[in-house]
Amino acid sequence: MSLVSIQFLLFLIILIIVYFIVPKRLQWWVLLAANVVFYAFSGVSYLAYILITSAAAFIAGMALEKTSLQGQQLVAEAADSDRKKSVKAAITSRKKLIVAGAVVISMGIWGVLKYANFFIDNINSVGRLFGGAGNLEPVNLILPLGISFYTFNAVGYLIDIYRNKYRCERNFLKFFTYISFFPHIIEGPFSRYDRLSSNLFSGHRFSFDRLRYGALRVCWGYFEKTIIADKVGVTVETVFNNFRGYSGLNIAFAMVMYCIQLYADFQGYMDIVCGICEILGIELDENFRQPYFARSIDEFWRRWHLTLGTWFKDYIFYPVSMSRAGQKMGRAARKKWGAKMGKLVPGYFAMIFVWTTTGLWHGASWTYVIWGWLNMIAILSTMQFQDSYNKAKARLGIKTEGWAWQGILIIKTFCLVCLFRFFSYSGDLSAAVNIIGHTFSHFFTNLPGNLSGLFAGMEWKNIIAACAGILMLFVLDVIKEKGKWQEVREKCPLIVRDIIWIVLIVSLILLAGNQSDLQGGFMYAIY
Amino acid sequence: MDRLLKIMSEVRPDLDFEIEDKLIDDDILDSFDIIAIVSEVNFEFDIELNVNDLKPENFNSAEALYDLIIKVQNG
Repeated sequence: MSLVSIQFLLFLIILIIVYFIVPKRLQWWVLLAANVVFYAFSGVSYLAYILITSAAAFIAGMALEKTSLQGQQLVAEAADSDRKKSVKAAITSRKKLIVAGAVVISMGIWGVLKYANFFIDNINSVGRLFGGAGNLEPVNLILPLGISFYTFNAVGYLIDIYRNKYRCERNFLKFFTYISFFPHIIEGPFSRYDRLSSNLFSGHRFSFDRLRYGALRVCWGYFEKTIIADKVGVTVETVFNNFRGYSGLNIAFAMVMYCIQLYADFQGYMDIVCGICEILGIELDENFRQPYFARSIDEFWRRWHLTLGTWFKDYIFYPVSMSRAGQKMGRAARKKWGAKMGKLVPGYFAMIFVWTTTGLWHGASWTYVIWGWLNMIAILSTMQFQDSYNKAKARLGIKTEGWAWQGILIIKTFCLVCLFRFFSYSGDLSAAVNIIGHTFSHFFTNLPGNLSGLFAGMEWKNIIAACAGILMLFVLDVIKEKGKWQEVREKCPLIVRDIIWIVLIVSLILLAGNQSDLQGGFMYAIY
Repeated sequence: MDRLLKIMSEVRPDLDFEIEDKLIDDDILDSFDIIAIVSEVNFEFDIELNVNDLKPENFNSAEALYDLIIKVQNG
C-alpha cells in the first residue's frame, strides 16, 4: 500500500478512529493489526520473511538474557577471581554464539535476497578473468517490503540485549508490533527498542493539539513528496535519460534538482510518518537536521539519515575500532607516527568497514561501494589535514566565523555531495564517468535558451509550484537551523496556520491530484 | 587518577579534564577521542573496557571514567 494513495488515507483514518476508541491497554493490539494489514498489502507471502527474522531475534533475545542471568549467578557463586574470569569467558562465548546464530538467520535472508545477483556477477567476472565461461544465470528474487530496515532493527535489538543495555521483550506479539511497525518499516527511521517500545505500548489519550500539529506535518510531507520531489524528478529523469543532448549546465542543474528531489522525498516521508505518530502519541526519531547546511562531508553525514549513521556508529564503528586489531594498530601508529596518528588510525580502520557497508546497503554494486569510499576519502582527508588547513586559514587571515566563509563551506560541501551522487544516481561506474565527463567537457555548449529550458520536461505551472515549494522548504530549514522552530510552531497565529493549511491542501488537490505518478513510491523504499 | 588525566590530556591537549564534566553530553569528545582514550586506558591499566562500557555516564568526566576503571579492576 503506497503512502501516497487514497487507500492509505482511508487506512489511516480508520486506524486513528479505532486506536482512540479502544481502551488504552488494547491500543498496541490495534497497531499490531494495522501493521499486519499494511504489510499484507505488499504481498501476504512476504509476511513469512519478517516473521522468521522477528522470531529469530525474539528467541535469541530471551536466550541471551537467560544466559546473562545464569552467568551472574555463577560469577557470584565463584570461589576466587580466576574462577570468576573463566565463568565470565564461558558465558561471553555462549552469548556470542547465540547472537551469531540469530544474526546469520536474519542477515542471511536479507543478504541472499539483496546480494545474490551481485555475488553471481562477481563470480562470473572472476570466472571470465581466469578463462572460464562465467555464465551463471542471475536469479529473480524480490525484496520484501522494508527488509533492510526491519533486519537492521532486529539485529540492533539483539546486540543491545547482548550488551545488557536493556531487558529483552517477553511477549512475541509485542516484539512483532515493534519490528513490523508500519511507519518505520518502509524507509526507517531505524529505531531503538528501548526508546520506541516505551511509548508504543504505554497507551495514549486523544489530543486535539497533537492531531492538529500531526495532520499539518502529514500534509506538509505530502506536499514535499508530490509538489517538490515528484515534480523536479521529471527534469532529473528527462536530462539523465538523454544526457548527451543537454549542456553540462543543464546536467549540473539536474543534479542539483536530484539532490532536492532526494531530500524532499525522504524528508517528506519522514514528515508523513512522524506526523502520523504524533497524532497517535508515539515519538519517532528524526532522520534529518538541515543536511544541506553542512560545512563538510563529515558534518553532512551527521545531518543526513541520522538513524542509519548512529546505527553504523554503534554496531560497526565502535566494535571494529575497539577490537584487538584496531587497538593494536592504534598503538603501533602512535609509536611510529606520534599521538595524532595513534588516535586516528583505529578510526580509519573502522571507517573502511562502515563506508563499504554504507555503500553496499544503498545498492548491490561496486558503484555504490565507490560512492561510499568517495565519502570516506572526503571525511578522512579533512581529518588528516585539519592542522595544515587551520594553519593555512590563519596565515590567510580568513575570518572563519564570518557568514561569507561559512557560505563558501556550505556551497563546497553541497558541490561535493552532488559530485558523489553522479555515482549513486547512475548505479553504473562507466555511466557515471561518462556523465561527469560530458558535464565538464560540454558545460557551455548547447545551452538552454531560457529558464524553462533548465527545467527540462516540466510544465510552467509545475515549475512555479516546485520553486515555491523549494523556497518554503529552504525557509523552514533556515528557521530550524537558527533553532527557532519550536518558538515559531508555538507562537504561529491561528490565521497563519489556517493559510498554510489552505495553501497545502489546495496545492495537493490541484497539482498532485492530476499526476500520473500519484501512486509512485518513495525513493529510499528500494533499499 | 594522575595516570588517567595524563592519558586524556595526551589525546586532547586542549582540554582541562579536571574541570570538564559534560564531555559527552556537550559533544566535547568525538568518537575518535573516545577510542584513543579507551585503547590507552586498556593498555595502561591492563583492563578490557569494551563497547558495552561506552555509555555517556562513564565518559562525561575523568572522575566517572576513573570510577569505571576501578569497577572493572575489582571485577
